[in-house]
Amino acid sequence: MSAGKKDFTEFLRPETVSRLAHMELRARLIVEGFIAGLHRSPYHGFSVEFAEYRQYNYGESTRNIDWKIYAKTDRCYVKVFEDETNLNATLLLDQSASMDFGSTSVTKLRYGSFLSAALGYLMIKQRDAVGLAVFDEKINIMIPHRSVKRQLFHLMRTLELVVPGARTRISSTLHEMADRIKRRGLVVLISDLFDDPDKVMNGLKHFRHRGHEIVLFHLLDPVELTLDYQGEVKFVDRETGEKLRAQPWFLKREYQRDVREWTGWLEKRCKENAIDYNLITVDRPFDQALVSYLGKRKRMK
Amino acid sequence: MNFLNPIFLFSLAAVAVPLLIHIFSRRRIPEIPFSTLRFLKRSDRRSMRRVNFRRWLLLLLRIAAVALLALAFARPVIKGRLAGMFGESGAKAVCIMLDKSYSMGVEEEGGLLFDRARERVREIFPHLNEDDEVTIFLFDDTPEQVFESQRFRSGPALDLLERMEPAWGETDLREGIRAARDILERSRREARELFVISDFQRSALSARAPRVPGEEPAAERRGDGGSDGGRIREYLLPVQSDPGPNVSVEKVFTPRVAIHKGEIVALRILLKNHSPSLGARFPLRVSLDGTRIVEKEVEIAPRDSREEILEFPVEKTGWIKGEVSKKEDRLGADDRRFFSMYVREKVSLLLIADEQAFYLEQALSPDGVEGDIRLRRKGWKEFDSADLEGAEVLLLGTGKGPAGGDIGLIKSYAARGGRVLVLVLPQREALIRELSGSDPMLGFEPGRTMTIEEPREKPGFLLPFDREDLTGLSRIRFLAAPRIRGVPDDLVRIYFRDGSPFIWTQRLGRGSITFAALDPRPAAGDLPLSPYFLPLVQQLVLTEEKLPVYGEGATVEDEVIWEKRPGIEYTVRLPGGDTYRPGKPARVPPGAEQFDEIAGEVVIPAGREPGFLAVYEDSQLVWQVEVNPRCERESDLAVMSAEEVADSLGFRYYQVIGEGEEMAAGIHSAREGREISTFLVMVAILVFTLELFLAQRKEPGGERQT
Repeated sequence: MSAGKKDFTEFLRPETVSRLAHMELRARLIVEGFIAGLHRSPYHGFSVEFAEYRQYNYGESTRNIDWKIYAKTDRCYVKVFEDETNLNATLLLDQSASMDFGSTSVTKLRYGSFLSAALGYLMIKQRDAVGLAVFDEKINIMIPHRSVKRQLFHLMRTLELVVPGARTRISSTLHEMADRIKRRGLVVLISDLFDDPDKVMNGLKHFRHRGHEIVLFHLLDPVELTLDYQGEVKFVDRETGEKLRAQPWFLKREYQRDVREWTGWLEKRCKENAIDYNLITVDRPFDQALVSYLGKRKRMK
Repeated sequence: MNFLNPIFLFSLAAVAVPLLIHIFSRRRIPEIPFSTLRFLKRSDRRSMRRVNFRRWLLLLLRIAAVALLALAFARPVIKGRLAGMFGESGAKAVCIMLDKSYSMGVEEEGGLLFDRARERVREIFPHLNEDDEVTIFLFDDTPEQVFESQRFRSGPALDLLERMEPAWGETDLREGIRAARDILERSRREARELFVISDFQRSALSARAPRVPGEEPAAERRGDGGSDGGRIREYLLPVQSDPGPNVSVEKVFTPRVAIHKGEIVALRILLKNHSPSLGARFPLRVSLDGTRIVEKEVEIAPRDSREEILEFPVEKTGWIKGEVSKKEDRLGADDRRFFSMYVREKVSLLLIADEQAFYLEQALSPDGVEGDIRLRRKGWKEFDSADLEGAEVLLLGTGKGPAGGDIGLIKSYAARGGRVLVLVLPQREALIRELSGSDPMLGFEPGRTMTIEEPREKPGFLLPFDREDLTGLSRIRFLAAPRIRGVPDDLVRIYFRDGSPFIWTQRLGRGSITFAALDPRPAAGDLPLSPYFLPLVQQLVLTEEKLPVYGEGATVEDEVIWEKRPGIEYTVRLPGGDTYRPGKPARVPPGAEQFDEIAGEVVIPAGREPGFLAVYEDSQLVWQVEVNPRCERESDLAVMSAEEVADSLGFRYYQVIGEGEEMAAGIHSAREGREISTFLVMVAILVFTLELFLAQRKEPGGERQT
């Protein structure tokens, strides 16, 4: 691995990104760093690209006929470009109080914000229309889909101002959003999913029912997976303020098993419903998430 | 369960330490914000039960370990079936204490209380093994080891028991038990047993006066007689009877003045009725040398003390053995009391005077009267040492006074035991200063008239005077009375009204010197012609001033001090007839004065029974003293329960076997007891180890609990 590549991966680390002042800068850093590191990957370029030829149909505009082909073959073919699809992507960011937890320098909410910004940046670059919804128990911020460059500025500014909210009610938000988004597209859900799993899945299935593709970024703090605490402690619930005295060293084993069962269940159900499930811990670089998104994006072409 | 060191039960409070640590450690729990408690709650419900169980188990183990250690220090003893698990020891060291104090001589139907006590000792023997080391003590105020056997055989012990009789001492339970414990603690046997058979008189545990002045009571000297631990198992075997009526002749006081043949002697007798409810009426008799002299009917109320004075004439000279007795009651030992008197012939007096001694001579030896004084007179110039031979009293009267060498002669005479009476007259300052250790200032003022102060209390030497006589004496005018200063108050017997001493006495060696400011010349005042002159002078001469007014002799078991003169062989006959020949001076009691003329003192062990102690100098009886039992405490037949006794003595591991109870059952029950402190310590160590193991043990997938 070259020294240069090392530098690029450094830009994908959450702690590095979090040190930057502006969200747009952060998004650029993530995306550019990611792209620079992907020169061997199958994902080439973002501009309007040729996709295929198809036979000209009567009545169509003649603007897209490839006259060179016509001269060679004496047949009318029309060039089909990728950007013609004009994808409608919706970023759903959970801002509930539980997201304001982090055992490292980055909370789940900040990580989610950075990830949303990077995805938004990527999407705008690909000329997809991007919309954003920030929610806790209700939708607090809703930015409609647009693909113009100004939309990127709008997104970044909004994400920069996201603060932790109240309790999580993901399922209701998903149902509401599924009803609101008329045009089929891509839905990216960034959340810790601390809600009733069945209800969450019902919400996600609602999107699927409407023909949306879903990428689910399940954000968790490493300690939420391991419960790595010493001695006896009193846990305070971020959302409810409820307190629980516990011996984490003693609970650890069962806790880890329960969390594994929960994430496993979510992954399984997502797979059954053709939902891309990505469990991401906030200490991981952003490239995993971006790879996942691009894979999905490619499959949607 | 009994505890041998119950004071250590207070250390049980130490269980609060792990409890407090537990409580305070739980208060310092840090609060950690967490995203959701959903999974924690789920796991917690399952795991906290185990955590709490483990936590409480650890706490319980810590408390148990501390409590077990505290209990072990308190040295618990268990009985019953469990005790059988802790093994039985082998051969024992056994000490049997039998009370022989004279309260054990209470008469009952069929014998003495002591007989019952003896029977109880016999009951113990079948429970002793051949391997046992057995010691038998008889005790009153002094423990006496009468039997010792490394391998016990009941035959000799039974023979010995038959010969035992109650004695005359007071009960000193502490001293007796201390002696027994000393024996048992020296024994190498693992199991040690102490049997105490006594009537447990209430007075047996009260503080007792030291037998020799200056010596502190043994109980205070060596600490309390409390049990030192469970190594000695105590059995208390009370033998008690209902406290019935008992009147004792507590004390007999003889007059401590010179008693002369033909005089009427007044004997003070102290009686006490120890019964709380029954009065008594009985004839009280006085016998002299076995002949009844006087008898008086006496009535005494319950719990009352009464003083009777019986008067009788004495018709013979020398040492007389007297006895005061009453009709015997349940405790005959205190119904008879001895006293001793010395009835003397005339006192040999040497008067040194030149002139104007007529009134003095008349007062000492009145014409035509058979007096108590045999008078010799010498002038100051004729006086020499040979004159002092045979003189009991030397009176320095009027005249020019002694020559230079005479003063040394007089002092030497007094130091050897002679009595000197000095008349305080003008121009005698030098003599008085020489003879007196206190260096008084004298001044005579012609024309000074003075009277003496009527004494508030009658001085001993004026015993025959009544109050009227004293008042009359105080009205006598003295002309040219001396003004005297510098005489210590404790020496003065009568004062003038201006505070000058009229008569004072001081000791010198074995004798005494009395100074009296009485001038026998009529010109010096009204005294020589008054009716008080003769009795005053005679009393000054005849009274043994160094003795108290009344006194009584020795008591059983008390040592007697006798001043030994050099070159003389002494023989002491003790009560009961034993003869004792003092050898070298044994010891001088603290505070006793010694003079060069005195060779030393010997300590005569008084008899162990009442009677008379006589001292012979070269086979001539020179002193006799009565020996009586102490009645003050022993005659009071009030008793304590064995439990009270055990409590007072600090017994913690004892068994009371009453007279109605089966001896075998009582002994068996007590022997069942086992001390389990070692076992508890081992269990505590085990519990601590278990606690450490549990506390250090790592949970699978978890860290050690902190």
